[in-house]
Amino acid sequence: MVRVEKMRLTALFKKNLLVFAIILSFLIVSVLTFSSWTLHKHLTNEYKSKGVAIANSIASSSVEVLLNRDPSTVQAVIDQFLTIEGISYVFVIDSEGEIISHTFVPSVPKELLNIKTSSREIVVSDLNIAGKGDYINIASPILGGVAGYVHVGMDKGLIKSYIMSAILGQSSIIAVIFFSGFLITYIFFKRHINTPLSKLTDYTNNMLAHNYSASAGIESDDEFQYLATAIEKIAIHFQQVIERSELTVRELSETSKELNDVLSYLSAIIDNMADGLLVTDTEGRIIRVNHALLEMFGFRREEISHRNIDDILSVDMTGWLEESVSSDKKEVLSAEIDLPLGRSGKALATPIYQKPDDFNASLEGIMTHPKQKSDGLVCIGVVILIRDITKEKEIDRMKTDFISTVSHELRTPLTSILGFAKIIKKKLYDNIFPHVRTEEDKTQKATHQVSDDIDIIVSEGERLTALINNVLDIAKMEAGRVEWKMTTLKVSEMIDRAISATALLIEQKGLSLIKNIADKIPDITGDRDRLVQAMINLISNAVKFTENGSVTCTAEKMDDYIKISVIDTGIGIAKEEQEKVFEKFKQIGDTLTDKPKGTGLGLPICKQIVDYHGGTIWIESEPGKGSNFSFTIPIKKEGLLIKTIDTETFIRQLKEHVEIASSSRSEGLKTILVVDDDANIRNFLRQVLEAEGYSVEEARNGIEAISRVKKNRIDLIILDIMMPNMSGFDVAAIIKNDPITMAIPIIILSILEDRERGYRIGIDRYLTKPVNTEELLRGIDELITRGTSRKKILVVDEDVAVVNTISEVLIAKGFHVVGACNGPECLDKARSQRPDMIIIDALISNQNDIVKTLKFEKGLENIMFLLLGR
Amino acid sequence: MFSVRRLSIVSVYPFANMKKKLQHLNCLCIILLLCLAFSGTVNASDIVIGMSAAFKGPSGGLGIELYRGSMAYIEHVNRNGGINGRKIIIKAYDDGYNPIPAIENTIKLIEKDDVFLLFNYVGTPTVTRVLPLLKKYSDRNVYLFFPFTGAQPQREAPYNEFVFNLRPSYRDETGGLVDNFISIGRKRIAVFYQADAYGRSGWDGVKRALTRHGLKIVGEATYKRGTQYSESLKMQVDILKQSAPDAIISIGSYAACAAFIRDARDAGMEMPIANVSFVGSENLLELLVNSSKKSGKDYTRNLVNSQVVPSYEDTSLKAVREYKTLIDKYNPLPPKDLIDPGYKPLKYNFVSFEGFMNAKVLVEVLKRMGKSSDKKNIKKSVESIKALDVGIDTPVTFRSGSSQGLNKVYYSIVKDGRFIPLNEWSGLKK
Repeated sequence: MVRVEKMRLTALFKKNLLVFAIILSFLIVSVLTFSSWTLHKHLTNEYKSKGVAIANSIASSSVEVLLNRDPSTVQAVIDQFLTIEGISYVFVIDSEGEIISHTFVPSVPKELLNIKTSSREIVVSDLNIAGKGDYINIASPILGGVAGYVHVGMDKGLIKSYIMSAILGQSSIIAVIFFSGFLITYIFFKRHINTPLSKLTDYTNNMLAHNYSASAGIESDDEFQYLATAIEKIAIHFQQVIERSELTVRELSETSKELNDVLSYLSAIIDNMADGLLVTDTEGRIIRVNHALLEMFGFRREEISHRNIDDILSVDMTGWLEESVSSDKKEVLSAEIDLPLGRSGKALATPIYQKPDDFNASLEGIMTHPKQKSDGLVCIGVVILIRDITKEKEIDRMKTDFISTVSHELRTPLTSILGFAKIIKKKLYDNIFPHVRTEEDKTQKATHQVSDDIDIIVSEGERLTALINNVLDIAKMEAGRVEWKMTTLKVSEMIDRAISATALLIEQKGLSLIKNIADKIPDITGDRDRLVQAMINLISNAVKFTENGSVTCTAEKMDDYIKISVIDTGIGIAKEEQEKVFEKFKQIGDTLTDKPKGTGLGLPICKQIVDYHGGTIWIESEPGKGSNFSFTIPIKKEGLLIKTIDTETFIRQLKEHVEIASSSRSEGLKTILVVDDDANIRNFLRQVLEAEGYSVEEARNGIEAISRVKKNRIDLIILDIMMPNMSGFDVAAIIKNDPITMAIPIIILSILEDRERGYRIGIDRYLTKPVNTEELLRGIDELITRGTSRKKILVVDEDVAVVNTISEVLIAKGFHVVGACNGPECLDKARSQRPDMIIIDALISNQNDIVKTLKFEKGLENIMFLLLGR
Repeated sequence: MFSVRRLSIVSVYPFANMKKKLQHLNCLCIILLLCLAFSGTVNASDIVIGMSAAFKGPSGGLGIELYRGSMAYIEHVNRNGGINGRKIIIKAYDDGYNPIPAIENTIKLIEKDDVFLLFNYVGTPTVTRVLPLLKKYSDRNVYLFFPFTGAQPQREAPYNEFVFNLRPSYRDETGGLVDNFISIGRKRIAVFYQADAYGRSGWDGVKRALTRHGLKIVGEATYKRGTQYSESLKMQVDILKQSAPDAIISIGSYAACAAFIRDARDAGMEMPIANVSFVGSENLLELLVNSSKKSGKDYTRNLVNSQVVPSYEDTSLKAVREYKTLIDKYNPLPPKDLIDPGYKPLKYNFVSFEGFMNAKVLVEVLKRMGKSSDKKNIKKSVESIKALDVGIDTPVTFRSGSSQGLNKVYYSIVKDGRFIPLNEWSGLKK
């Protein structure tokens, strides 16, 4: 401490001391110089005047003596003056110029032998005697020089020594004073400046080192004390701050520890998830992944961090990202993606929203590129969950395979059974029974029996078909394999259809049907066929379980859904039974007493349908009082984008409105090629077709089909899909791609429901087994008679993709297609190409008044317009 | 003296208080008696003569021997009835051969001791500075008798009327030496002298003598009064050596002159070196002899001293015999506190012989004053001495205006460690 003090002292002191010393030195030097110079001047003058005085005195007093020529008296006189301070020598020269008295020991210096004298006045001269020094020689004439001269020598050396001693003395005094002053100042400094400063410094250092003490120990009642007081206050404050901050730090560290625990817990959860987790920012850059995901894809963390998600996933995420990020929708996108090593995964992506308060623009050092939403929330990215659904897919596939296998295996023989049964029945009634002699009872009985039997076979066959269909339906619905065709539909229309389908049933049972549809029911979005199916189911059930009374159908608008009810006056359902009603294969009633009617799958299928539409289905019933089956369908919401083109409906619509201007009917028989690996089907179809007057060719498989097509002239192909080696789709694709055969209409007859694929390839019809013979024949008829006349269609849509899709289909159908992307182009092409039909986006049409414009054009009056609405 | 003093003291008191006066008187009587008991042989009728001289220091020998010589004769006179029954007492002070003490002593002697006359002063610088005092106290008729100095100031106006000299002057001494040296062909004469009035006086004497011969001093060197024998005078020796003199006349005191002679002889200067009487021949000789013994060199050769009294070796002279007898008999010494301890008195020497002669003449003067103790009559008494035979080969004559009683200069030379009379100079021929 002492040493530090001394150092501080030196520093502070040095500064001051230096200035002090400089001033002092300056002072000393100037004072000494001045005093020395003054002293020198005065002493010299003194000496000179003394010398002069003495010389004069001697000169005047020794006149008589000199005149008496007694040197010893003169000597005695001049000897006296030697004692005077400053006098170095005296000598007297007589009138002859000889020295008659002098005080020199051992002899007169030669420098003095030629000294200047003046007879009139005192001559003062400076001279230097070798070996002795400087002197002032004063020569005074005695009696005007007649009696001689007196020379007095003043010792300049004495002056010098005086000045030296004066300087020395002064210097010593100054030095003494200086050093005492230095000492005093040192003490003063130490006491009054350094000590308090050191105390303050120590106090402050202690304060910094968190050694708090109450007092700095300064009580000097001066500025230092004021400073000390202030610093003490600071110390108190500082101490408090420190304590608070220490507390805060402790709390923070606890919090941080908790957070860390939470974080590591969450991280553990995330990393231990079986599903893969992937988090991106709003631009698709990967921010975070979990262990499972890395394993799933076989990446290392460094490989995919910060890369764009499109590099990783096969699904185009960016488009969806942009959309979901910029819109206010909170949509969940789910997609199937391919995982490495032939596995499949399901990805569920959700945008991440955060409240602005909670939000941090950068996480883990990465900018998340947030996007502000209209509801104030900030979208900071997307979280994607990927699950390895390979097994599920496998199971799914197995299910699908099973279903298709079953349906194929079941339907194929069933087609034969039912088909042949119907043929038999027809043949019986048409060809055999008329020719049977009805005289014999036995024959008549037999005829009746056979007729009943065949009826039973047919009805049972139909029932079996229905059962299989239902089973397949429910299975498909549960597997999510159903193709839903969501369109806008009118509730009343749907209900009417259902009623008309079940009218016979109701009439047969003798019940009355009441229809109670409210006014102003808005349109809903739904699968028309399925909803009708559901309605039919409900009505059938109602009829089944009502002996007498009525069946009422109601439809009314609730807030944002439509409630449809089927109310019967039947036996009702007990509370305990109500729950079981929607379960599979459950039927009401004792199976022993009541012959089970139906499959027990109707209501489950209804439930699936209603659930798919986002509604609910329920029963209100009391035993003996009847039942009320109700379901709700949400009302179509505005802004729902349906971009998918319902190709089936579209084509149908097309067909319905396209005038078939038949050119020359081709002569001769129409040949139809039947392609199916099942001989029975082929047989069946042959019979049906030949009965209609068609020529039939058969092919067992795809290769045979193609060769036949090439060899013979085929007018239509009926194509099965499920065939070995080459599926029906492949065959269709090949045929449609070959310019020679591409015009041949194709009807697919299959157990599979994959219409889209079919239409994509360019087939004309898609029918499912077991085939509805009338429908088939109708289709064939239409397709054949239409012939190969190619009609020109103009397709207009802003979206080129839409134009292309429609065009593809139309071309497949044998139409000539021209495309346009906007109103003016449309008008232009319409005038130049003169199409038979214009398929145009409703918006463009309205904006450009296409219809009105073209209707007034000569030659285009009969153009058919098909407007595509959204 | 005392009675006078006493009376003067008493007369101060007024007569108003008679009783007290009588008491005082009684006290003083007792004191007087006591004083008388302690004072020794001091008598109201004694003739007290004052002496200020060098009793201590390098020239102390001069004062001591002078005193001794004088006291030998005075003692003899005092024992033989004194001067008309009155004893002669010498009141002596030491001035160390320095003028200021000499002045102080003189004032003391005159004012305090109220001496009858001043006697046996030693030295030119001292005496020269005392002379103005005599002039000042001329109203008291203070006379200086027979100062031991040959300088001119006390022999010339304006002070010669207050001083009676016995010995010949330096001019006489130096003139004689110069004449003799020139006669033997030693014409290049250098001077070594004391840097004061004494030396200057001697120097002046040599100069005048040489001027008479048409010559000049060829070289000179001074030394400071009070120089001890132990000091080196090589500087002076070198200066004089440069002038290549035939003879060196040395005007100084015995210590310095001895040192000079030693250093000169050591420097190879063999020419005769002559001193004057004031040097203190025996003291000089003693120093040289001691050094000769130590160094093995003979520093006493070619040493010529002039004297103002005859040699005490000449026993044909009555005064010499008287001197030898009396000094042996009484062997007087100055008071112990007056002299340097360790001073060995010389047996017979020129200085004490001169002191003896001084006392003899003084006694004659005092005798001729008769019963009168009036100082005014001193002068008359002195001047009444004409051709007085004092036992030496020349008579003493005083007359008005004459500077000294004796005029004969004697010469001596050292042989076998003793000064013997030098009558024949041819031996010192160049």
